[in-house]
Amino acid sequence: MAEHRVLGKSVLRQDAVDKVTGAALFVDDIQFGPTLLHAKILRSPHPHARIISIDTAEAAKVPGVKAIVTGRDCRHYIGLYLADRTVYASDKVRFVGEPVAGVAADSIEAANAAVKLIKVAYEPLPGVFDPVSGARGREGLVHETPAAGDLWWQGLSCIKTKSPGALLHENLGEYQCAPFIHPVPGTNISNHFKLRKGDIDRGFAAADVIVENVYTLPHIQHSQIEPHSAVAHVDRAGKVTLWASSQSPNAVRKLIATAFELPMNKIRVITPYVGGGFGGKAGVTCEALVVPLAMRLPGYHVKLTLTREEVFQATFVRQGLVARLKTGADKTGRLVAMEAELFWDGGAYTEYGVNITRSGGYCSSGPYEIPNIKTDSYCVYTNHPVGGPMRGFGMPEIHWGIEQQMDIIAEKLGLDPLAFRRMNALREGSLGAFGGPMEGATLADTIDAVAAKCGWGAPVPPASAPHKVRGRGMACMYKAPSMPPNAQSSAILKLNEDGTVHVLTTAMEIGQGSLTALAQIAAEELGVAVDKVVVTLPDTDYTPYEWQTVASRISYSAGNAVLAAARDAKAQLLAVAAQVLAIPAAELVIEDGQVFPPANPARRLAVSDIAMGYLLPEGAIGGPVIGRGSFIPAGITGLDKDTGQGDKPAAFWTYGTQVADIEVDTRTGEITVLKVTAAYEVGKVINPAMCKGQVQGGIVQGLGSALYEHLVLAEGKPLNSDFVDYKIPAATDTPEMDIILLETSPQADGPFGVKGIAEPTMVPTAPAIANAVYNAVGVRITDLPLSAEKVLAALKKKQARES
Amino acid sequence: MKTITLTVNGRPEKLTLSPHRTLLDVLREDLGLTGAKRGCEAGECGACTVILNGRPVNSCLVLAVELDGADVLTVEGLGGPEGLDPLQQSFVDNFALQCGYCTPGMILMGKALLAKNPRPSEDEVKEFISGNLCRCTGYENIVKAIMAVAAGGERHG
Amino acid sequence: MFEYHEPRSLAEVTSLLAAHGEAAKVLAGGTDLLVQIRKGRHQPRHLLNIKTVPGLDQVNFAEDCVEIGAAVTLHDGEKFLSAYPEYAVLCRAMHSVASCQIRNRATLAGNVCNASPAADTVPALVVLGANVKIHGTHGDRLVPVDRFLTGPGRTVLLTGEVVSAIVLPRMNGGGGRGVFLRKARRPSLDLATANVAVYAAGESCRIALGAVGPTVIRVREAERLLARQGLTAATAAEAARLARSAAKPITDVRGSDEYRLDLVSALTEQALLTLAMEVRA
Repeated sequence: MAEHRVLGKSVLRQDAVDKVTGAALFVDDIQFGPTLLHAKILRSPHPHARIISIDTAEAAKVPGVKAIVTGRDCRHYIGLYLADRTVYASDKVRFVGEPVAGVAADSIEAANAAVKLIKVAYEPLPGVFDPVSGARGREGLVHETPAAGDLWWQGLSCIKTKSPGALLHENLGEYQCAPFIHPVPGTNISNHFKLRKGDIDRGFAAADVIVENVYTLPHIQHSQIEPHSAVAHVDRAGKVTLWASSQSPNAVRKLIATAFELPMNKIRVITPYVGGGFGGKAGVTCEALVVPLAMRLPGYHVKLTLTREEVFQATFVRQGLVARLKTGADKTGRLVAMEAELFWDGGAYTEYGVNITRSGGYCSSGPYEIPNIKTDSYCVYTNHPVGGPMRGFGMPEIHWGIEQQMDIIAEKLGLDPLAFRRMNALREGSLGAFGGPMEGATLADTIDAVAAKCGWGAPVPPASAPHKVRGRGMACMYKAPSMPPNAQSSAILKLNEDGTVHVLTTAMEIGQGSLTALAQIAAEELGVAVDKVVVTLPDTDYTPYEWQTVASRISYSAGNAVLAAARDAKAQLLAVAAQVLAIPAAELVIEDGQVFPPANPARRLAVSDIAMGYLLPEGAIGGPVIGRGSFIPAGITGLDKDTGQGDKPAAFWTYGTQVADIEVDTRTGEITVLKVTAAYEVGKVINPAMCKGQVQGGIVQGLGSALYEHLVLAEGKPLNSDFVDYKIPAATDTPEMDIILLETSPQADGPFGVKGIAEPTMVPTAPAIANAVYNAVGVRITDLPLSAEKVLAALKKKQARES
Repeated sequence: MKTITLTVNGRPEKLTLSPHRTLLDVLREDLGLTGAKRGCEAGECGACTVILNGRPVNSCLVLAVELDGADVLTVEGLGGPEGLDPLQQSFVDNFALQCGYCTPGMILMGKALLAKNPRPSEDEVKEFISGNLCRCTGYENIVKAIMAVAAGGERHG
Repeated sequence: MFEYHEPRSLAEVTSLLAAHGEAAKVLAGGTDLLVQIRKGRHQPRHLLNIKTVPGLDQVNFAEDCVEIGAAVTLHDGEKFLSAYPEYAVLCRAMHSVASCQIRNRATLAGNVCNASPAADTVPALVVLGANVKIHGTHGDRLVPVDRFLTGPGRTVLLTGEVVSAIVLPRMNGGGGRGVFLRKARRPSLDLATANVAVYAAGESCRIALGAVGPTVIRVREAERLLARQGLTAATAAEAARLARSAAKPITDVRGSDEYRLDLVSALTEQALLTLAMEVRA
């Protein structure tokens, strides 16, 4: 491939100066003047209850209150993959924190006062708090293989409930859903993804070692530092404008159009800078709440900025998971069979979460070739906060178990865990869990790169104190963008009179650097300096369609659209230049804003001279140059409903490996992560500094989920919905990081070969640390997080066993 | 209501305030200085950090009425017509930001640290900014950006 | 909504407190109070900013004591005391409280008055033998820190009384040394799951535990053992065992009672061993 001028260079971020000066505006920063009203939400105190009555009379009398809405005012069901929720609770509440009523007032104090005066009569209903209720009280079994016949995990009493009150969605069978989602009416299962590859019984029969364990993960929260915020304005002609801290302007527009029966050209969604997403601002979270209030108050701007407590309780959380994994290998170390039962704690509404169940299902083998697989992945309604997308979309969850299984089997077989993984790694043409051939499967490259960098196999250095023990562990991963097979992107590239460029997309800058990366793609293709290109933030009235900024797909998908738009604009420029210079377009190039034939560079035209067309003696030619680009991934197929088999369920897979070096304090159980070495194969690096930044951030987020993070729920009520008691890593908690980016397998249909990177970065960190703990002190912890308390308890148990 | 005068970013301001309002409220709503961000309103995230009388504080935990005669510096007060403050520039050069929401607070912490300790160790930088949460960067580039200025340009990331 | 007051004297503070009773709250650093107000846990009608009382932001070194005014921040307290190695245990504890930004506002007296079972400064103050100076309509009284605290969020303060200072005994050449250790869920700022302060001067040794009972716990049995048998590796281990049995922890979101007991023994032993090294040095 030709040498790139802009691509592959660490050009400075397009948004950096805005962000270091305070010029960058986030939703809550926008000043609306005297028309601003403040919204507050009355939220359910119950995890599960029927709403008998709502009385807003007293609340409406509070001075300053302008409007109050309840579930009566918006009865349409909405959802991304399964339409199972209304904007405000209508007949039932299903989680603590669910919106019951909204108030708009001229001050936050008045809105708060009014919320307190709304009287709601509830009839509490029995709650469902465990996706596998049979697991309760059987923790003793977690570390052992269950005896034959002791199929406790099949005691799905919360799923096939006998108590009618414990059924969360009686009309599940009537909800609209995407064709690849399979709800089981009459149960709490909102999606059952089934995968059957090969012959599972013959597979296990051929196994010399079988390992079966249960792995669990609690709910965690994205903890973006910017709380969700939305402002709605309805003008006197009925046009709705919504400013939202959202990753998904077009999805917001679509879901609000459905909820309020509005045509999409009457809804405008503007998304200024977003202070972190990680999936928690995808789909719709709180944006719709202000719309019905604004509809009652034409001319006003109704703002809702969530408190931190509301962010924890009432926006998406990462789903909890109980995973039973049974893995078999023959004595040569070949994986021969794998059985997985995945119970996802989807929470009260699973409109988005159902697709995590699917992704976790078709990736359930991990990045390994296994001929015989049986997977049942269940999305289970519970009276917990709403599970939704979070960085990794099922992959951190399933790899938590898979990657520990790999270490356990390797140890039983007396094999080095790295060599064992390498031997079983998916390779070019291997058949994935879904039965189709894998393309660009580069796991082994990342294993080799990490092994060389960290000195795998070298003796572990001594610990820093006598009561501390060092250990090292590894974990691998793969991840595909989880999206509908037809998730689209588009871009418009327009030239200005001076040769500068605007690129319009609805891809969202959420910190990952999309503005800069897309500018690099446009500049590279168009042949102008990157600082001449400005990528704008989304405004759905003006920027073209983008499905969502999720799934680590923007550089790939929006990148393709921008590349196509740049090509289109370039062709227009070259056509004009060809006529002006009287040289065939095919003989011209554009470099640094100049069009010229390489054979005779002196004959040149500036892009600025032809951007608006050109005036020849015989008349004007061309016209303002506007490039247009659309992208839809080709060849992504569905999966069979009964076997989960198909050709290609996703656009690409990104592979990576991490090694964690840790120290365990045997007196307190505290784990210190000293160093993480990571390698990712990303096809093509657009901007090395930003790409490395994604890996750094992902490792530290992975470390948080490994050591601290756990939204503690007691009968559905979060006990730590603030940063006092929900701890994410601070600067002093971070390890040394050694990061390798590989470009061994450029993606055939990615712009310049690009694959996604943002989400894969946090996937292997937690299991790598768990494997390192085992390596250090010989205890295996299968339940996240690896709190010091849990480690110490396991150490004491081990000592008791041994003495 | 109480009337106070204070200096914000070198400019005198006279404000008449209800006592329950915080410095953060007043900066953002009355003075249009939205660089200080609302993140948790409990002093746990540091996004609202400003420099009050030479010291970094969480502006969400300071009542504005207390500030008669005080001197406040926000991110908007850094740099000037001649360009960015060297620490702001270092954040740009070292990719020390992603979503940017914690950035104003981080930069002001860097300024406060370097004012009292021009050559901090990496551990001192980490300790000093440990009341400022960043969910995007993993902190490495933030520490690097502060260290680069601390070393007076001798070290480059 | 509250009325805001800027009293100019302690007398004015006490008369306001006496007049408004439960409806009045003292505002020092405000780093805890403002959060409690926002969360609706306190709804005071009157807020008394004691930072406007002249002199309360001073640290006064007297012949036999050091008075740390009720408006002295944790940061300033640490700075004033850092020159005195006998108070290092308190400096360490003050530095452990929250973040730099918080320590620039929060006061030492406020950390005590909150009466949080997990307050870091409390065990350090207790081993130093510190007193709380209380000003009331009938004058001043001194109460030892451990007697001042009566339960979570509860103190001996009566209506109309205000804490004017924390008073440390002067250790003139006493050569006393102390160690403060804590563990939390995360190494960086976090509320302590358990904390321990130990202090030795001459033959006597004091041990106080935090976050493992409704208020701070003195481990007197261990103190007597160390006074009798001296500080050795063996007595440190025995003292740690005694500390463990003196602790009365609860289980909460920060840790189980069992884990807190484990931390008490690990921290106590480690603190005593570190102390032994410091005393030797």
